[in-house]
Amino acid sequence: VGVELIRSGLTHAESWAANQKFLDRLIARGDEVVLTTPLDQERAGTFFAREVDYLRSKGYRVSDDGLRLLPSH
Amino acid sequence: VPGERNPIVSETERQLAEAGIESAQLLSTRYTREAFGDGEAVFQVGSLLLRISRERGQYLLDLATANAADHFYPFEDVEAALGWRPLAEVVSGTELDPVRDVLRRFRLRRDEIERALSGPHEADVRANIKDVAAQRGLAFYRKARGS
Repeated sequence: VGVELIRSGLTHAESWAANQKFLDRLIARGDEVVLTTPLDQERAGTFFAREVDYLRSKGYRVSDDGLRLLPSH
Repeated sequence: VPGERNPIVSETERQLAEAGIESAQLLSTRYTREAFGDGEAVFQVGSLLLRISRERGQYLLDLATANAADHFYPFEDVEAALGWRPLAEVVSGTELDPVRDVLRRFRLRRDEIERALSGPHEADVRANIKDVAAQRGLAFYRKARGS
């Protein structure tokens, strides 16, 4: 998804909107999310940070090992 | 892709020029078109190394010194460790600063950073930066866990 977004010249806001749709589909399926970046290496303002915040706002929680985000159901 | 020019190089060279950073020497590049177009370019400016990374279209700046080239620090951690920016601000930001602005801040502080990372207080400064990184990491972890 990201490659096409970036190549298409979308702004960050537009890219985030498209990314959010991707996350919404993931949430609707109840998928677990495997984190590719450890939470303690997160940097404010990045897409990764926004994704974690967004998923948490949708009920996701961090797994005990801190490596995944788990749906609420 | 063999022979393909890393587009991050031309972009970061332009950003460096716009920030007024002259005589930056390109040391290495990495670019993966298939992975969101992510990549990085590493430049040497005086005794410092600047690693400008692109992650999903967002640019991040990390610093190292030429004599410890495998220890890159997030620039915002360096700013916080040297007292130029509160840690709370580093942790709570919701938007990344444009890399051009970050590079301008680097240019204005370059001499101080070089002194801090090479002078008699180097060990203390490096310890402070690591402490900031640890605090930042803990803050994000707690936030993500809702604790």
